[in-house]
Amino acid sequence: MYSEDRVEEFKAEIAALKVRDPATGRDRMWLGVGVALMVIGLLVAVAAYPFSHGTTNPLQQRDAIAMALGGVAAAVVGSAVFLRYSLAAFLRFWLARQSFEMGALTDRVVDAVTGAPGPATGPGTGASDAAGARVGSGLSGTVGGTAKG
Amino acid sequence: MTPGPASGTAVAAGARTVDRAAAGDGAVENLLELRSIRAGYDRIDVLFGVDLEVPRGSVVALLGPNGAGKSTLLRVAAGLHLPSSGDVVVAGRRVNGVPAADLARAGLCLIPEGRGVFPNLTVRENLRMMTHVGCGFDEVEEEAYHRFPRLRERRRQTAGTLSGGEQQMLAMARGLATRPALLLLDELSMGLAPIIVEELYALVAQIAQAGVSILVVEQFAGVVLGVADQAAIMINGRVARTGSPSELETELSGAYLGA
Repeated sequence: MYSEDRVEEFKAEIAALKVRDPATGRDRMWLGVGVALMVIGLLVAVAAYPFSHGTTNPLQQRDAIAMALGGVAAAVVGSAVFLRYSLAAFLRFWLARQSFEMGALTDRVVDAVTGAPGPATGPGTGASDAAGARVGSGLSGTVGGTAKG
Repeated sequence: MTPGPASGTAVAAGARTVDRAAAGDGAVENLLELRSIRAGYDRIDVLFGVDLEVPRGSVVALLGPNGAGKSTLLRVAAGLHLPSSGDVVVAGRRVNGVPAADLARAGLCLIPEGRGVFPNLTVRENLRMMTHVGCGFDEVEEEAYHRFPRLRERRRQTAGTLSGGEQQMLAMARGLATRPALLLLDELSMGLAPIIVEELYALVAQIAQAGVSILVVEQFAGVVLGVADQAAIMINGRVARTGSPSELETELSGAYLGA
């Protein structure tokens, strides 16, 4: 029977899924790491100057140069990490916004063509929710659904 | 005069229950279990330790007033929203953190509220989007037009220009094209005329009879209780009451009004 086979198939597919460690705030953590690296790298690079300036020992001055270079490298890496995760967050928002505006535009065109009032579930809040549902489930393209509890 | 779909669906729900009883199922296997789910948006908690089970092959109706947390619970079940604590167990496996796309590909299908279609694509293009799950376009179309003959007439029409009921039919057709084993329906009735709602729920009863487990969220209980095997009332992020539809029908108004 279709349903029995399908359920068994479903169970097998679920059993085969790779379950990742749920990390709700991973993006936020990496953003924090990026900012921290930028700040620390900058401070280390700046601190290397008085360290080098306050001595005539060439060995210590070379240590200061190495320290400054390390600081600059840390700041560059931190900037890259920060840029990657902040861009990802921005692009996610942008995609949701685009979907929402496309839906709102279509509704306006439909209303203008049909002369009918907008649908009861017209564009409202929760665009990102709706877009998230669409992307995540791969089922639908609703936009402008009213976010509800 | 033909009997209304609601009465037909009530009979269907009864028949499914009898089938299971006849099969002598001692311990009913749950296809979906939500255990002590807590979830929210940023710092605002919406769900406060929700427990819910969807037994294999049954229809569970989740009812409750606006803002009770029903849609959030469905999003948690579908993998679209991570719970802050608690377990989402699908087919006996804890799936917290599994991407929603993977769950959907396996056969967990969410039909979200608000007509889940791409409004700027035609009916055919909307259906074509569902071929990503591995089935052929002809197969998807045939299944969709078989269940919803009206969509065949509208196949070249932009989805945004369909009526509300037709858009909901298209959303369901898209969901059903994935051959779901577990179907999550969010507010099918939203913004639709009662006769269309009855038509859609008659179809839900048919799908349930084919053995698909269904969790259906509704704000308005009347029509969904006709197809459900079990029901739960959710209020303020908690499941306030569970039971058979007949048991809960009498308590609904009190629950909604906070009596």
